[in-house]
Amino acid sequence: MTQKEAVQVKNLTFGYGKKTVLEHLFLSVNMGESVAILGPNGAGKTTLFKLLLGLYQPWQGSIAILGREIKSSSDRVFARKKMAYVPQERIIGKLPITVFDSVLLGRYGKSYKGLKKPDSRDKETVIKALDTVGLQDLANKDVAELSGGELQRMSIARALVREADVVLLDEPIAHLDKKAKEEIPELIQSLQKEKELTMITITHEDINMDFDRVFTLTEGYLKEA
Amino acid sequence: MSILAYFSYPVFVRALVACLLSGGILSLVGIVIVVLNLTTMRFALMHIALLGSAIALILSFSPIWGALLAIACGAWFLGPLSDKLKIDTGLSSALFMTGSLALAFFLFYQAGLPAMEAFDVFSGNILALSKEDIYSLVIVSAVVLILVVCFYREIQLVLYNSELAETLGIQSKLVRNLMLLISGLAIGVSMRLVGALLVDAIILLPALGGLQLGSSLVTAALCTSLIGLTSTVLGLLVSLYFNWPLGVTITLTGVIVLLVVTLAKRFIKKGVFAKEGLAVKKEVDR
Ligand SMILES: Nc1ncnc2c1ncn2[C@@H]1O[C@H](COP(=O)(O)OP(=O)(O)OP(=O)(O)O)[C@@H](O)[C@H]1O
Ligand SMILES: [Mg+2]
Repeated sequence: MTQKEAVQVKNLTFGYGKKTVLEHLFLSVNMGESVAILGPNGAGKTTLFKLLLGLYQPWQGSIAILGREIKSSSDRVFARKKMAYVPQERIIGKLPITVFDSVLLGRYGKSYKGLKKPDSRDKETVIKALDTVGLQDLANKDVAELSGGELQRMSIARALVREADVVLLDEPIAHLDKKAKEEIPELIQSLQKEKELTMITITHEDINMDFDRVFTLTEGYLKEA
Repeated sequence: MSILAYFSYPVFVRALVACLLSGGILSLVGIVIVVLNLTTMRFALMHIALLGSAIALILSFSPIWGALLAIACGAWFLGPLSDKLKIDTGLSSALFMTGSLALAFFLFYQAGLPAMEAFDVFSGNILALSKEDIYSLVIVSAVVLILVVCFYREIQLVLYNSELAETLGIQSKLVRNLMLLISGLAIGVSMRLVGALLVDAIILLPALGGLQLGSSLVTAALCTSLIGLTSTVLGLLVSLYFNWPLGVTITLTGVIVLLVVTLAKRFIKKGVFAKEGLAVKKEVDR
C-alpha cells in the first residue's frame, strides 16, 4: 500500500452508558477519496463522526487521522485542524451573528485564537468561500434570517475556510427542499473534485453524488456495499 | 441640594462608582444568562448566596465574602453536576435553591440568630456600601472585563454553538462553567446594590436590549453596556433629584429603556446592520 490513509479506524467499539452503538468497526478512507456511509436513523452514523473528531473516546480499538493515531489531547488538536465537520443539526442560537462572522469561526484555531485576531487573509478566505457557495450577497445578514438551504451552504463555507484535508458531511441534504436537494450535492461534488478533498458523507436518503465507495451501517456493523 | 453637591460626599461617589461598574461591565454577564438560558440557575445562585452569608454571620466574618464564596462553590457544582448526572440545570437549580434556603434557616435556628440579618444580602442598598462591597465590586468587574477582552472569540464560539466550538478545538464545558461562575459572582455583588429582587434590572434588562440591537457579540455587548450605564447612572441621578428610592428608580429606568429599545428596534436594527455591512465592505476593499 503506497497511498497514505486519510482515515483509518480499526476494531472500534463505542456506546453510551451501557448501550453499545458501534461494534468492531473497521474503516479506511484513502487520501482524495469520497465515500458515503448509509444507514437508518439511530444507526450510529453521527456517533462515528464524533469519534473521528475526538469528541468521545473509543471503548476499544483505534482511530488514525492522516497516519497519526489519536490518543492524547495534542493528537486531538492535530486531528481537529485537519478535519472540517459539517454538522447535521442546523441550530440557530440566540446570539446575533452575521453570515460572514459565522463562516469566519471556521478559521478558529488555525490562524486566530484568544488575543490573536483574524487577519486580512482570513477575511479573504471567507469572502472566497461565500462566493463559492453563492452566499456573497448575504454576508451581512443575520444567521437567523437564512433559509435551510442557505444555512447548509453557510456550513459548507465554514468547512471550506478550514482548508482541511478531510471533510465530514453529516446528512447534507436532510430537511431541504427539492431544489436545494439537487443543488447542494452538485456543489459538494464539484468542490471535492476541484480540491481533491477526502470526504465522508453520511446520508440516509438517496443523494445525487458519485462516490468511490459506499458503506452501510446497520446495528453497529459497517459493511461495504 | 444640587445634584453636583451630592458628589462631594464619599457615599455618593461610591454609589456613582458602583453604578458605573455594574451598569457598564457587570451587565455583560446578562448576555451569557440570556443566550444560555440560565435564568433558573441565576435564581438558585441567589439563594445559595443567602446560605453563604448565613454561614458567614455565624462564623462572624463579612457576609459578602461568605455569599460570594457560596456562589462560587454553587456555580462550580451546578454546571458540571448536571453534565455528569444528566439532570437538566433547571432541576438541579431547584434542588439547590430550596435546599440551601432550608439549610440557611436551619443554621439560624441552631445558632439562635435573627434570620432578617442574613436577608441583608437580599435587600441591598447602594448608599450603604461597605469597603468590602466596593472591593468585591471592583474585583469582579475587573475579572469580567479581562476575560471578555482576552477570550472574546472563545466566548463567542461557545455562545453560538458549543458543539461546533468543541470540534474547532475549544474546551466548551470548561468555558461554559467559567462563564457560569463569573455570572454568579457578578449577580452576587450586584445584589448588594439594588437587592436580590431588583438585581435583574442590572443583570438581565440591559442584555435583553443589547441582544435586540446588536448584530454581533461585540455590538450587542456595547449596546448592553450602554443601556446598563444609562439605567444605573440615570437612575441614580433621577433618584437623587426627586429623592426617590434608588433601587426602584434604577429598575424603572431600566424597564423604560428596554421598552423604548424594543419599540425602536425595527427602525434601529436596519441602521445597525447597514453600518456593519459598510465595515465589512471596507475590509474587503482594502
Ligand atoms: N449523547 C448521547 N447520549 C446517549 N445516547 C446517545 C447520544 N447520542 C446518540 N445516542 C444514541 O446512540 C444511537 C446512535 O445515535 P446517532 O446520532 O449516532 O445515530 P445516527 O445514525 O446519526 O442517526 P440519525 O440518522 O437519526 O442522525 C441512538 O440510539 C441514539 O439514541
Ligand atoms: Mg445523525
